[in-house]
Amino acid sequence: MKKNIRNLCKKAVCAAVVMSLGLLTACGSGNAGDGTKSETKAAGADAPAGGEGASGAQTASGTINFYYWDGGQTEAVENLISLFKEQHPQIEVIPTQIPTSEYWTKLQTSLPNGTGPDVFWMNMTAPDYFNAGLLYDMGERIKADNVDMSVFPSLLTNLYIQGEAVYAIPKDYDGIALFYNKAVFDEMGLEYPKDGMSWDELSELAQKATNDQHYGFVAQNAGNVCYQDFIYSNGGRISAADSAGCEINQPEAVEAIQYLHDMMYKTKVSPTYSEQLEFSPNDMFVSGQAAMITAGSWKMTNFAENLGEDLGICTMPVAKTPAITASGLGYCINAASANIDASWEFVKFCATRDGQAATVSGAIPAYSGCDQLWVENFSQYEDAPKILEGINYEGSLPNPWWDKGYNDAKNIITETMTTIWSEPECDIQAALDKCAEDIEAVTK
Amino acid sequence: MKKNFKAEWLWAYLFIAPLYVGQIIFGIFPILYSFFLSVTDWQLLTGFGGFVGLKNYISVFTSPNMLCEIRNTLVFALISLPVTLAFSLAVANLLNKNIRGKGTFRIIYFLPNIVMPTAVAMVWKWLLNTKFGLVNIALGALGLPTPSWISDPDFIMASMIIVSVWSGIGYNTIILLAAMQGISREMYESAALDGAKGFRLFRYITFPLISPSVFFLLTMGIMKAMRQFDLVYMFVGKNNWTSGGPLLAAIRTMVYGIYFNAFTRLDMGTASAESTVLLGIIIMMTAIQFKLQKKWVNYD
Repeated sequence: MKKNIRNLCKKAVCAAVVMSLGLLTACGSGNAGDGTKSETKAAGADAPAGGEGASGAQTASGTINFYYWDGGQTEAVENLISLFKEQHPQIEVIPTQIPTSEYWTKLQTSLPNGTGPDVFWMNMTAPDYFNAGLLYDMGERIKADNVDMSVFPSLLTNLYIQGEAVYAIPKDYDGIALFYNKAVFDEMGLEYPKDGMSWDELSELAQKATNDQHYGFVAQNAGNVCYQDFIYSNGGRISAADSAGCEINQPEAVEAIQYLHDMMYKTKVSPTYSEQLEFSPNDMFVSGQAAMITAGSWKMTNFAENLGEDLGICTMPVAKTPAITASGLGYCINAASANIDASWEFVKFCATRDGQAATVSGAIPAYSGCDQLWVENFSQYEDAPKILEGINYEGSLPNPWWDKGYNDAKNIITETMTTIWSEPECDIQAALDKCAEDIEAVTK
Repeated sequence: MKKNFKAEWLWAYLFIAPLYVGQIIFGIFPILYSFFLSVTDWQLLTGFGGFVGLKNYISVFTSPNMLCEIRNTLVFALISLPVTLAFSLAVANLLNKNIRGKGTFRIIYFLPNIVMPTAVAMVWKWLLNTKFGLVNIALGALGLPTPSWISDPDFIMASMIIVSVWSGIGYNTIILLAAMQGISREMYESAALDGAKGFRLFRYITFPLISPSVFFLLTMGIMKAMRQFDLVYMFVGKNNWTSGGPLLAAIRTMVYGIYFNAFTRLDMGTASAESTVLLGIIIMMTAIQFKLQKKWVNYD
């Protein structure tokens, strides 16, 4: 017994010593890390003062961190970096993929305290970041280095511009189209969907393609690939044109949402919201449980892999004017980056035709003309170029945006829409009136 | 003598320092800091916006979402924990018998405990699928109703409780089993001589003797259940497009609310206020348990 206790004591002492050693070494390495970081920071801060603008940029060197979120685009990112490395061997770009669900949390927690990545992907939430002074204004550098911004669609560049300041170089843009499964239409002996169908044609066709094995269409609780496009095409808006206030309770928008809601619960040609929660809309489509779906260009690879020759593509249904949600990503630089010169060198390369073409396997490059390269990836589909049309439609609008209270407004929209889709007997006008009222309260 | 004593005292502190320092930096400091944040307006991206007094607390107790979170948290903890303990007691009692393959059963029951909560939620999401889930296929084959476990607001809380009971049984069983095996054989023998058997043995011998362990599991369990997050997040809250609506309202817990306020609304002040309220509730419940333990926990 006594021996046991003595053994136990010995073990405890050993454990304590090991643990304290561990902690000490952890502290030690932490300090070392901090040290090198502050050194590089100091060096980076000196550089722009020494050689202003272009001349300083030519001697840029060092290591920069690059964050992106889409694992499906890893190949494209690696392509881009190796091409950049050929021309700039003195700059090391370290890419890190962070899953979408954690990406924004990571940026929100690391950028304000200066530990964020040097270069990173950004989407339409950019104003949140540049209003907080977290994004580097590339305006001067763009002028100094004669970067041509006119090669990008203006709907995209505008997402990242405020006054004279430019906070991102467009990376890609979204194409949105109506996809269909030819096998289902062949099986039912139906004609394939046509480009720009009217809403009546769409619901009629969806009705015919519905049986106990599959639904005709999927009305989704997703703004950018579904209800927003229907609202825009019907001449409606969600956020008011002046980015304050809300127009989601106007007749055009209500009509569009009612139309999609009826597909779920009245004509029952679309899976209900709860069915979609258990089996995601895209999975339903590729597994033949739904004949038609509206989806974005980023789903193209997945659809092509799963459906092969059965995949059909046509342009979005049209109510009054052809319209989609125009959006796209951009490359941003951290305002607190320790190495702005090298970061700019990389982003500048991303803005060139070569840099954009390098990422063609991942998404539709924003650079004018490069989008054709993307279509060539899918040359087996003669209708693939139709995906590119949306960005140039006159009615296309960006995602809803509010200058003030954006996050709260977006949550109000999401909650309202989710409630509408999950309630078969929902009074849509009343729900949207309430939604608009709540949004006006936080955005004005 | 006195000098020696002081030296020992110093050494003692030095030896507990690793744990102690870690606890202060990662435990005590964040708690105090969040008290401070809870009376300020701090937006994650734009920074510190000054003191706002009790404004954040008022919004915790007036916002319908947060009231709903408090209710769900209490409902979840007060149902899932007793059910878990009841099942664990039954299982531990069975494993305490001399049956064949005892070791294998112990491993099987403990397995869920070492699986990542996220993986547990993913697998159960599939098991509970209305059309393709094994649970409903089995229920259907038996001619029983097949509800939409994870997409019907009336059932999702029940599903969450089932999953958490399933994954909690293993750990509780191991602790209870260890306590049961510490009871000496003589106790049962003498009780048997007095004519006790079956449930009476459990009621009058086993339970009183393992009551300290049950109390331990009860206090720790309530703290854990009050902090439920993973299942809510994995079942409904994960997808940006689905955060909201009646389904989320049926299961959103306080920790989900803290996460939502902090990282979706970027409002650290309100998130801190809500976590302070949660801390208050947990302290209160634990205090009540310590008061009540005198009536049923046996330390002799």
